[in-house]
Amino acid sequence: MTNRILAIAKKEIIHIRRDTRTLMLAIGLPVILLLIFGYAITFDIKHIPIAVCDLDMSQKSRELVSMFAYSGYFDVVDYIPSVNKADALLNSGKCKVVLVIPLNFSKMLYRGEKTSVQILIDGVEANTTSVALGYIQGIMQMYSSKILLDVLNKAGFSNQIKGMPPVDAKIRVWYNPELRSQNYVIPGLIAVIMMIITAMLTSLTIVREKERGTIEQLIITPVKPYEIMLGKILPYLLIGLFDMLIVFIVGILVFKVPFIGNFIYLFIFAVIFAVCGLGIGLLISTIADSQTFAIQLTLITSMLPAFLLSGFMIPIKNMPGIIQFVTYAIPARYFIIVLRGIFLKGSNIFILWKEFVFLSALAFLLMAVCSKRFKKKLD
Amino acid sequence: MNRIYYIIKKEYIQTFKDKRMVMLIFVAPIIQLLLLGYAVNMDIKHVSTAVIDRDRSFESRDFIRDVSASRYFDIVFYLKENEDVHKIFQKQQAEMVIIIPPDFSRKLKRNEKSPVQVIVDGSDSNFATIVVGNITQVVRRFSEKYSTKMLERMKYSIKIPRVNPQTRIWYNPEAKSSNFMVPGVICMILLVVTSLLTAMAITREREIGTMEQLIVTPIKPIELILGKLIPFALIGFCQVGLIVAAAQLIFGVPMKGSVLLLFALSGLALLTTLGLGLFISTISQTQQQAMMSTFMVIMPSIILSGFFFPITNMPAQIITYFIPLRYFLHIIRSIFLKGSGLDILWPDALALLVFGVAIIALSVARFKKRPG
Repeated sequence: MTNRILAIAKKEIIHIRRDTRTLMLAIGLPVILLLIFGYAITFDIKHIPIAVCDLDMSQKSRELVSMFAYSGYFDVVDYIPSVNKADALLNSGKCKVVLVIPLNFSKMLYRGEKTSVQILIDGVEANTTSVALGYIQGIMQMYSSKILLDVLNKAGFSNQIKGMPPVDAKIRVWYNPELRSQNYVIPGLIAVIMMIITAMLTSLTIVREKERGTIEQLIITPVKPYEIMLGKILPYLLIGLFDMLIVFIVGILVFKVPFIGNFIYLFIFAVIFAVCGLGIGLLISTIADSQTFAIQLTLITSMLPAFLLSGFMIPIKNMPGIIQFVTYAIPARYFIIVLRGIFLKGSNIFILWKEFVFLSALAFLLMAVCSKRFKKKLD
Repeated sequence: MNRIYYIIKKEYIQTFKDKRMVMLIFVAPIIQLLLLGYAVNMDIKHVSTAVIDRDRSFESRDFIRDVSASRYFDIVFYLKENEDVHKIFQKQQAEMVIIIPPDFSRKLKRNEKSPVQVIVDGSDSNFATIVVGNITQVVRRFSEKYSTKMLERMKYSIKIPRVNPQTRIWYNPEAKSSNFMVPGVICMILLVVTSLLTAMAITREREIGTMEQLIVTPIKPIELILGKLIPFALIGFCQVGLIVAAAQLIFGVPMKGSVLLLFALSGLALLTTLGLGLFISTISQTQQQAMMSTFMVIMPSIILSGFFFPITNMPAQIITYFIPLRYFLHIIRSIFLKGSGLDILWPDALALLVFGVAIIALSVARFKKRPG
């Protein structure tokens, strides 16, 4: 039995080796994605280009502008003389925010009256917009309390206001104190890459034989269906695990992602997860009649969910209930929790037991369905 | 001309022979649309928060009430004195822990600075940054409340100056993420489906060995190419139409610009995607190679185009100029949300045209040299 599985695996390996480019690409894709996510993408929202229309031109208005500029969140890219210019600036995309400080701004402030500044935001990038709104709120609050202290100081209350602001938040960020987005993204990337590679490559293996007409030859051999199945996925399991190692090593050495957990746990989970990916790919391969169809199906059943429904980029908590429900069927969802837990928090298997149970159940289920379909197909 | 027609017909029969394929080509965009339209919501509200209240005073409870009233935070439970915060974070039972020290109210009353400790799970850096901003705001507001009280106690009556921002959000007033994502789906689908289908369809002939049969017919290479590309261009246009309709009907995304312009410029974008597919088919022997090579190009394209991650945040923005999808995305979003016309979009259109013509010319040249 083991012999026949190995024979099939050997045959598949010969296929893969003959096609060196596919192999190179299977290794190259993780590297490219790593480089992009490591160097070219940050989730941080900083340096939002802002244009200022300062109609007051006073010391107080300039103070406000400099608070925006020094916050690190905004880059003042332009000063405009009148609000009319704002439209063209926003439409061209040269700035995302326009801050309009009205005439009499400082006068009103000194009189202790409520004043307002106008803020125009380009809302196209919805997420950036909400984050920018938060920053703006924060800056305005800081500015307001500064003015208040100024006024009280001038009124001779310097003694009484020593304790202001009365409550002081001492905030500490654990697991990722510098808030580097790489620490968050790169562990998650392992799941995405493994899912893409395992599902994509296996989804083609059996259809390819169907398309070329070699599947009949396989069927008439004494090899049993499940032996074909195992033999077919074995080489891709190795490729998937190899990809995991690449991301793991490059992530730690080049991108300095901390790894405080246990590699053994990571490896065990990676194998179970790879089996899920291989199972999906194999299942698709038994359903599809052409490689084109197989790829399209893999795209929407494994790659898209791995990116969108796994919590890789989008928090699952915010999704509508029905979509949240769907995420429970996505293997990457569990593996990403595991990866981040092991990498950043040093979680062990006792903390991750739920993920372990769900992931193993999914792997088992997929394999069971595969072997059932496989038999039917071949008999 | 007739010969092109026959190739088109053959390609149609081949692509749609499998009824499920038809379904997939048109169902896939809808699924992606639903996922991206409904699932993408980066708002950070209802952060699960655990509290250790060592003060148990009126003031500390008031503070906790303010935190939970802010809508950013849900107080999920109170921790006991000796509970391990690490365990809480590892099990993901809470994402933030607030610790109120025992002398909180005493210091507040005495007009001294009174610290509150906040611990945030930073594994999601983006999330943590925003949470830190939000909790800072809540604490500041609470502070203000107490300073105002203090000033009142001092019988000091002064009008407190205050600046409040009046914010107006343009183009997408509710900052709805579906307005941002849904138009973008057009670009993604067009790139993924048309380039992948083209690359695989042509490589398939080579893999199965039918390319030789095609070559020995009197069909010229250019006719063969046109016959192969036109069906996929039509599929592309159908998908654009489908998504534009769904965007309005399902998601109510405003369409401020001209649909006609959108279709015309989609034609330019198709040049680049079909060209990419054609090019890959000239460098691939098997469909698997074609598939992997296509992915090698489209995945970075999607990530760097600004589809998810705003280009303004990218450290190396220069590379994005080499990605045709970037221009198309800008075009689509501007037409949908800003109603921009060609007067603003012409540089993007020109860039698409240049990329499209360049890659098609390159692949036609390669194809002629080595069709089989």
